[in-house]
Amino acid sequence: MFPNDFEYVAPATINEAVALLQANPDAKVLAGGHSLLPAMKLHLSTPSMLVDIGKIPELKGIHVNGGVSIGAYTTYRELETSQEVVQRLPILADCASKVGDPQVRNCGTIGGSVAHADPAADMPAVVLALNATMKAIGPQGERSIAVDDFFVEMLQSALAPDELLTEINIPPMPARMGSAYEKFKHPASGYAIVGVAVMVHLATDGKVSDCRIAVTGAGPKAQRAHAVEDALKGGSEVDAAAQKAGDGLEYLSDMSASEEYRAQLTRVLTRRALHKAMEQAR
Amino acid sequence: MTTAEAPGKMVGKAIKRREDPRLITGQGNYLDDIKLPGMLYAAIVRSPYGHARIKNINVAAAQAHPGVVAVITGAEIAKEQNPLPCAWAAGGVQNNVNTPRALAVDVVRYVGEGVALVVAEDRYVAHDALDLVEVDYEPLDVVVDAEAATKAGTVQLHENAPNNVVMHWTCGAEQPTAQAIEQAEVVVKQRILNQRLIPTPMETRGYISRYDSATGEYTIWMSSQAPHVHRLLLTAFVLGIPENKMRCIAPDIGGGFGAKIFVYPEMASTLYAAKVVGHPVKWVETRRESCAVTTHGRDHITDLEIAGTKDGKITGLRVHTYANLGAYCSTIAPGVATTLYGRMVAGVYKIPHVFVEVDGVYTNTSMVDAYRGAGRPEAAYVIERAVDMFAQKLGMDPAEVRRRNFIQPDEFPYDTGIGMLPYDSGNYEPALDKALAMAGYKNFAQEQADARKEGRLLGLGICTYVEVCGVAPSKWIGLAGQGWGAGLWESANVKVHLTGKVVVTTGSMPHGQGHETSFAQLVSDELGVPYEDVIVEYGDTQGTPFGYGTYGSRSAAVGGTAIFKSVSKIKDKARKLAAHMLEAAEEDIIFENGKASVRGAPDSAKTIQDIALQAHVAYDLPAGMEPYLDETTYYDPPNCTFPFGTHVCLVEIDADTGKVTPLRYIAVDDVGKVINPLIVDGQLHGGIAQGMAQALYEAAVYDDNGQLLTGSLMDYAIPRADMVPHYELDRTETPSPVNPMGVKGAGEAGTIAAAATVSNAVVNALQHLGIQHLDMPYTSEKVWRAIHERNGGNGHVS
Amino acid sequence: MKFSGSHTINAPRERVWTTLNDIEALRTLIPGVESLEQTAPDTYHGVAKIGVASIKGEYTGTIRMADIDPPSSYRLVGEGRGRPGHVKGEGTITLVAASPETTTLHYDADMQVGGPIASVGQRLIEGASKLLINQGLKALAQKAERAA
Repeated sequence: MFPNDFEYVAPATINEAVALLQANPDAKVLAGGHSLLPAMKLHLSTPSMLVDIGKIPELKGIHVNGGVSIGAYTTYRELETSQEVVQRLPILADCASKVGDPQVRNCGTIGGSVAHADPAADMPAVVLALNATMKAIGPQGERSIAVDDFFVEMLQSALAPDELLTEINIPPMPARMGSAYEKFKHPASGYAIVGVAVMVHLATDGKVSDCRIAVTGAGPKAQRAHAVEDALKGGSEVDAAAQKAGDGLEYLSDMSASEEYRAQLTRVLTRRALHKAMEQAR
Repeated sequence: MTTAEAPGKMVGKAIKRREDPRLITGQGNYLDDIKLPGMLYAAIVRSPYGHARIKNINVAAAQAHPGVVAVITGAEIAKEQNPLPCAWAAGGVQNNVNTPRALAVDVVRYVGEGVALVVAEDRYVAHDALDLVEVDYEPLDVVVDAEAATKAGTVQLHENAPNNVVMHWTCGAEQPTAQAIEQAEVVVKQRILNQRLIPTPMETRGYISRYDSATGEYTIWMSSQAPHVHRLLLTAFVLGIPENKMRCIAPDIGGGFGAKIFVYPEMASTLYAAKVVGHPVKWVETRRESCAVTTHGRDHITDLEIAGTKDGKITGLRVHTYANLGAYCSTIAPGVATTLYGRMVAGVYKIPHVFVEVDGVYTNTSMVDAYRGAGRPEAAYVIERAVDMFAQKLGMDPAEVRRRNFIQPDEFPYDTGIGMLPYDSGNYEPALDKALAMAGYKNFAQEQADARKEGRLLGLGICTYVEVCGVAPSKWIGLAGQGWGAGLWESANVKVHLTGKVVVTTGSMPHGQGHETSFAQLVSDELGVPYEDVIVEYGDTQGTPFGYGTYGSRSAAVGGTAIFKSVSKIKDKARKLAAHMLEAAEEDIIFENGKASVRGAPDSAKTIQDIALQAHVAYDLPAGMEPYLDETTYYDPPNCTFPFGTHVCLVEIDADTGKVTPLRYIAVDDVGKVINPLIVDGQLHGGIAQGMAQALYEAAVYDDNGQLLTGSLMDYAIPRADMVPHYELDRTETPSPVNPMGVKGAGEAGTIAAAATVSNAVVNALQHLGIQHLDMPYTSEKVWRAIHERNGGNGHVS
Repeated sequence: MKFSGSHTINAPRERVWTTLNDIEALRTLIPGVESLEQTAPDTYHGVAKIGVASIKGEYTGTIRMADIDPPSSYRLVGEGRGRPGHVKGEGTITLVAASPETTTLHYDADMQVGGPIASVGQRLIEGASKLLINQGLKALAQKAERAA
């Protein structure tokens, strides 16, 4: 439980942070550290430098601007308790409240979580369901990454090693919108064995006009359950549509759950989340 | 709480633990808080293989690393030290017990076994240098399953243990039991697994060893439940030095659950290192090491047969168990798997014929030894599952079957006939009745049926347990066949200082049990001094005459009785001195509530404080009386104590996911007289959580290559507050006749009962699907599969 | 842990076989190779930095080609040891001509992981292994296609 030697720097600006990442290919961004530090203590990760972005004021805070813009260094605790988030994006506040324990939520950040792209983290599913746009700054300047392109592989996001995730932008939510996150926790780690985030939008006739369903924990990365989305948009009832939640997803097995069981949980949690979201949307 | 309460009323009072303000505000003094001048730090190179020959160890690079002081290997230590002892060679252990060494020599037999010790100027350097020790391993075949290990052709761990068998042990009568089963109207057979658990105390183990070259004396600070026993075993067996050349000091201990009773390789290796480097050496276990190398618990494969009549009378019980003891024999491992387990399988029932066979087995896994309950949770699991399966087969109410077979209150002391001491006292039915009433049992069958109609799966489990505490009469535990290599009495010294303040020194070794509080309550009442005037000391071999330590729920029954007896001796002396002071005959002195008075003349009295002053200054003592009130007792109990009770758990199972949610947990325990109800409740809360966690979450998993897959708390699930329901506790009180206070013991009861209770509840919820048994832990996927497979594979329950 | 799967390569089987059958193929297949040298016929020794994202470790090991049956299959037997633990495994690669211009590569692998990574990395090992195998094979396929 003792990490290797590393250098620690805490830049005051985004540009300084990017310059450090560019100059030190082995460096890692420290954004709360609740995944990175345990990996380092177990010697699974041995970065030569940690760039602590916790001292950069622009990376913090929640701003309402039609949609909601969330600084990458916003902690779970801030999301859980922010009135803006609770009122506008209850799914995000609810999801944040299901991450780890109070100590973790006081340190861990939304940006740290999505950039780490842990296959079982909660936040990736929710930002995927909410159709977020990720803002990143690198040596070449700023760019926006659609969330559908953001989670590339297990533990790999679309961010370049010298790019810093700065903001997560959630688009404005229309009327008759409902969302929910259902999580089946691993009893030891607290990670999602499966977590399903859904967002549904109903037309005035009560039919599903749009929806996004995202699954975490089941496979190597957060994934959209397109088959369910298509079924719902095609007029299927919730229960029938949820039965398709297993289709077309990539599953992994480990000691705690087989692929078959993860598929079952995906169907069950999708159904439950959809019922909640539909209720909210009506 | 009112601490200024008049003396004589502390026992039975739910006062808060006086230890807690210190411990919960970070002011405790745990091992890792101790820093000695010149202290160095050790870290250990550990085997990544389950079984391998060590071809070569190259320490040069590590030795050359800046800040590294020494790199020590097993071969070097083996020249100076013996292997660690096994202190409880129970059941006529058939091989020359294979015990671990400070560090492995030539062969490693489990993942995590120590290979080299690095001593450095700080911890980080020590850990960095671990990677620089080059060990060339030749991997060997591995066996992790206890049954497989006994089969011909399987890899052998030790030359002197054919088929990897540590011992083959039996109790009870084989032939009559076989006959009873053969002739029975009803027989239920089942294989049940009691999975391996990782104890996970909040404070991991740690030691600081110091050697004084001027005096040739060692001092070792240790996170320990039994410092005197450790001194005895380390000096007499490992180092071969006189016992008076070592001092063992146990500071505050953050839990042990049994795992800190044992002699560990790191005690021996740090003692060696401290002598070699000439500085104190500290080693503190990491959590990963704690998972991998601190002893594990349970790990039984059991085949049981329970036989009886159609009207629910049990006539026979036959049990065969493979007890996985890991790669080496730990300190008391053979005794746990035999006497503490096999002799308790009859439980609370009158079973005419019982036969138990145990094969202790070596495998390429971490050592297994006592873990909270130590043998009795395994026994309770066997008998309580067996009785439920028997009732299920008969279609009878499991509570009724229990009732029909209970040992009756007028039958105590009761001998179960399988070599256990007679149960001291008991009255099983009132506890059962009370628990069932609290649970609303008479309505449950209907609720369950109604719930099933809605697709909800409810289950209720009952466990009526008995356990053995207050171990143990030395003449019994040391008998040939039991194999315990020492006594099991306890010491206590009580001194009343000149000021009337009292110091109690006990050989018990609290590590979370609150002895400072409950022992002070006891002394306050017995001696009639204010509770605040009593302090309790422990944990230093230099300050205590001897102590066998705290485990087996023995502290109140054995350690507490020793204190009680020392106080009685103090009172006897005080009475003599008071008679002299009051110029009365000793027979006329009554000592009550801290005051010695002359019978019939209550105003003519001396307080214990007056008497203590007189005893101390010694201006005017009766002829021949020594000064000072200072009495020591070495108490050897005449029998063990046998707490019992009924636990009930109500669970709901989500058929879609298999998730088991405990809804209610009811426990009616009878632990004899209660000194501090708050502490007893606390012990039960923690114990129940541990037992429930075995049923629902915990399992140490090795793969076929001996790799521990649950090597951290990311994968090994320990219980947390949000995983257990609110407990509903009550008690019955059947005093033990064994000791003058009537206490039995409460430290392990919760764990002993809870795993079986929850297990019975889960199977009860599923039995309409034709399920007779499921093995713990009831992980969601396992339960879902059980339901799914019996519902035509559609994943839904109709 | 057992893995299996297949990839389609847009190259004729003979060409794919040639590409697969030299030390360069191993360099391509094993991600993060830092050094690799032949120590005996069909046997190679080397160092590789293997892992996913920042979870990486350096392993030293050997890999041997066995049961070579041109142009259709061979077996790879390898083991590596490093700070995070040790890995031992073997896999069979079989080439089937799907058409004159395309080849289907089947693989079957059985892998054992030990040491610290096995005791703390259970949640990620299977996914990471699959990812690495697929990345390796994909790179190999691209190489074969380029060579064609």
